[in-house]
Amino acid sequence: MHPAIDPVIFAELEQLADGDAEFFQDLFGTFDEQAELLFASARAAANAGRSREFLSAVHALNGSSRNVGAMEFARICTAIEQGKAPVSSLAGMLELMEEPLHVARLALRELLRPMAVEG
Amino acid sequence: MAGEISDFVFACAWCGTDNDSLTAEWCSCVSSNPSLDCKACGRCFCKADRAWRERFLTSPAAAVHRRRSMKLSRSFAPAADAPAVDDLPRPIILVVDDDKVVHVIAKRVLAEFNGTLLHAADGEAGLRLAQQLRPDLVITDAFLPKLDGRELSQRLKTAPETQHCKVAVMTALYKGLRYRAEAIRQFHVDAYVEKPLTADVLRKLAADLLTHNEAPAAAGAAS
Repeated sequence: MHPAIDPVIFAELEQLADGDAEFFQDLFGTFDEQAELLFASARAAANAGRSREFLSAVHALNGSSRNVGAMEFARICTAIEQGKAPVSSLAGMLELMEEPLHVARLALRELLRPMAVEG
Repeated sequence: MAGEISDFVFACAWCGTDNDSLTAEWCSCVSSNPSLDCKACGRCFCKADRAWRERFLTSPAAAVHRRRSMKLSRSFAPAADAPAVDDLPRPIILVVDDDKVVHVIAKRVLAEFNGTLLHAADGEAGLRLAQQLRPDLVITDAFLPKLDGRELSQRLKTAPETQHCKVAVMTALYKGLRYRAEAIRQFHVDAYVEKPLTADVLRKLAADLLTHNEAPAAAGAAS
């Protein structure tokens, strides 16, 4: 299991999927699309200095990533939401999120690959 | 789920093309009871006799109402006439969350209840859908665009036509006993659960609240 994805949550999702690869494609595909849009909206808010809008996008990213087990990224979102991030500027927070989100999205795509072959 | 309003597909009896009720447009006929235009051939069936109108849809009566309800909730237009709620398979469960991932998981988990699953992405849309289709259970996020999930609960519980709905509020923000007590006392929620929700918790939550809805439980049964 990729370290960016929580094995316990992934196991629960596997149990829920019950061998249905389409469920995972739907779930991870939805997360992937949504994460891209939310991150773009966080970027736009950061560029415009709109902190409330920025935090709202971070909150949405946090919830969504927890549901697919992307806990490392979710923890960064939580730190930002709670004002515990090691940076204070919105641009800095955005930078903090960018790579872990990218890694999580790649990890989920990796997890889908064998399922697509099997399905 | 026996029916799901968010992705209802119907076939045009004229040309056979599948139409998605979410993207098809209302016909422009001046009528309190309009039908949808087929995307492919552009024809509607408003002026046809009943037999022809029914041929427009693969599964007529209930499908018309489902399609209309969803369309109205999407456009936030006021309901021109009440949909036939009785045609929808029960239990009707409404999930309100702006996180699409939650809807994908809920669809999977709640399928076993063999009813109708409704989806809304914000509190206002959820309220309209609930007012129209009077779900047995509403599962809503607390932190929502347009109308807060707790406020949605309060509105549903204080309106005679929706006060029977069981309401569960999910939250990742308002955690702790103080918020829980406030949600129960002030916003009349039946269950208050912390996010993220596992499939087991969601399944149990729905089963418990739907059971309570069949035989109303004593006040204060919030979990």
